[in-house]
Amino acid sequence: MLFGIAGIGLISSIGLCYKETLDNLKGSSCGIRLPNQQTHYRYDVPVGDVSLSNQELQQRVHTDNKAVHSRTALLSYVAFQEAVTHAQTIIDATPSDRIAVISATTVGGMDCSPLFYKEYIKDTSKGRLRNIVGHPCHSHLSLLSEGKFKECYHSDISTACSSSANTIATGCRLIAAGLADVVICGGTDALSSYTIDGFKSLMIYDKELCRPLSSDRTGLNLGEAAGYIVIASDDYLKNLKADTSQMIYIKGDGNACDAYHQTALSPDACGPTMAMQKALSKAGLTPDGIDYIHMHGTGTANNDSTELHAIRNIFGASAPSFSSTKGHTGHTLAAAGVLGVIFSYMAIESQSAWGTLRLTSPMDSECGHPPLSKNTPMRINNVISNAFGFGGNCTSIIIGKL
Amino acid sequence: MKEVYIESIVTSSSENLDIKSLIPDANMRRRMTALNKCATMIGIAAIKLSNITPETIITATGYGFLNDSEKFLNDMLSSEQLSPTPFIQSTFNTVGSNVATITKNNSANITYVNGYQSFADALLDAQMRLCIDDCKAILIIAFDEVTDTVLNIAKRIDKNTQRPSNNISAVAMVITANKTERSVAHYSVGNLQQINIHQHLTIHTSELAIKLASHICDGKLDNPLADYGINVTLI
Repeated sequence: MLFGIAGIGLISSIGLCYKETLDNLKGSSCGIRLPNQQTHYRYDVPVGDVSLSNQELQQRVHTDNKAVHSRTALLSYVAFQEAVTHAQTIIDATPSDRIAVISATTVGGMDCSPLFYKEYIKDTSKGRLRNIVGHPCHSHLSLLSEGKFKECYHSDISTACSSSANTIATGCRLIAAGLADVVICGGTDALSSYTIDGFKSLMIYDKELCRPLSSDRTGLNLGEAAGYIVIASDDYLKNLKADTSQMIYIKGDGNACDAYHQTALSPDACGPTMAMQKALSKAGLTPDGIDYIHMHGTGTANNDSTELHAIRNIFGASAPSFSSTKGHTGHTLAAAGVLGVIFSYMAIESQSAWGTLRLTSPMDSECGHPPLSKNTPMRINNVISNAFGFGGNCTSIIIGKL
Repeated sequence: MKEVYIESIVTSSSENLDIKSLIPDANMRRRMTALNKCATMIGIAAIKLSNITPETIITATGYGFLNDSEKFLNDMLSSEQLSPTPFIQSTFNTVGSNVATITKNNSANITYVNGYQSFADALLDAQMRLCIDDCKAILIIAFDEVTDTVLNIAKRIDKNTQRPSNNISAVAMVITANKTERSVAHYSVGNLQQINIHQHLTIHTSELAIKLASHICDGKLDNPLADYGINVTLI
């Protein structure tokens, strides 16, 4: 079964909407800011932040539900609205009980929770409820449940950095099972002191702007983003007389557990290899059917070398072009998976693979060529996009034209 | 979709679970908080009971590792040298990953963190995979814990909130595509839209799972999933 991508919405450090993001990718813009350049945040590490304050984000929220303070939720609302507006015709033609929303987050309302907690630990009668009620992962779903979406099935997945990629797999499965006709899938994560400090404790940051796929890379930068895609089966879209001539489809997905360590991938790249293999198998493609690999490519020593190992395992010495966009946006955690799929979509639409920023000393990939350093026009039909998370959760999604 | 079968139910109240044989690595055990240990242990116990290798591991939690999150928040606020352990252990898919690592299971692994509905999401996901993905057996673990902090917050929102009888509750079960000699029930998800259960302030999604286990094993409670269109038939 093929699942057409009928609507897209996203917000990140390289764009407040689809068009701005595409322009910035084409312009090789970097959204990651150094500490002295950060806007409303005051973190001491480089971050890829969205250039709107919480107040500015709240002004864009037009719902009955005004009491939302979590930045994670606010970002999700903006991206979701863009996606469903883009797919308006399809959604209008589909009854609510045939629509589902599958979202993902790891941060949830944890961007606000420390504000509650620091008062609470001094005095347990203190701490403003408004800073804690949005804490649970599923809280942001209330912003994705307005109007037409009020009665729909909503779910939330949290598998670290592969989270939103897994929502797409679940969405496809719901359609294939005949339980839904249209699914909005994706995810959201805002920057938060909890995750900033968490990654600090792991010591996998680059103190400067990150350099994914460079042999002298020292770590990642965090980012924030939200992204959603609206999917429906090819048959369903054709029945609605949608124009599918330029449609790009989710062709396959694969998820595997590396089963090695909480925060590092295995030396033999088991999980990433299996995830890509499963996706290829589901898509009915052989490795030579892939034109471009949009990598997870965070810039950590472990991820980039393991991911290249997996690429070699599958594609051998003649891999297609590959690159990472984490140097543009930073690592957006739960949103990374869906952002990867959207950037892959943009690559197909533009017939251009994205260059890896700041690739000063490319890793020796042993795949026949180094990672792409510049945006490169090429014929792109099929792209595989990877997202690998803590706990060894590895997901690959293949998208392409017919 | 065709109905699927439940077997090998293990809960946090199950006795005679030997943690050292279920989680052999002492260092791993040491780093795990009680919730993590409990949920991981009963998951592995369920696999051993069923004697089938699951082809997907699905975990479900409403609020995740509240103790680890609080520990890390405390560390952050006290500017102590930050230990990564509570941060990593507060990752929602930690239990699924632990079970996979200990049992060397590379198959699909997913975690639902959707409040009280999480366990229902897991049942739905399992049935879909068994019916259309060619899976034969799937492990589900539902788990949650309550802390004084969360109880404090819940009571401020609804002063009638009751403390659950256990701080930790967890249920593991194996779901199979076909009936086995260990099958105790079968279930099928009805209308997707009926699975809309966010309104409960109750802290534990595992409570939903515990009620299901009770319905199946003791016959004491009605099917707690009936209101959500999930049909359960005892065998």
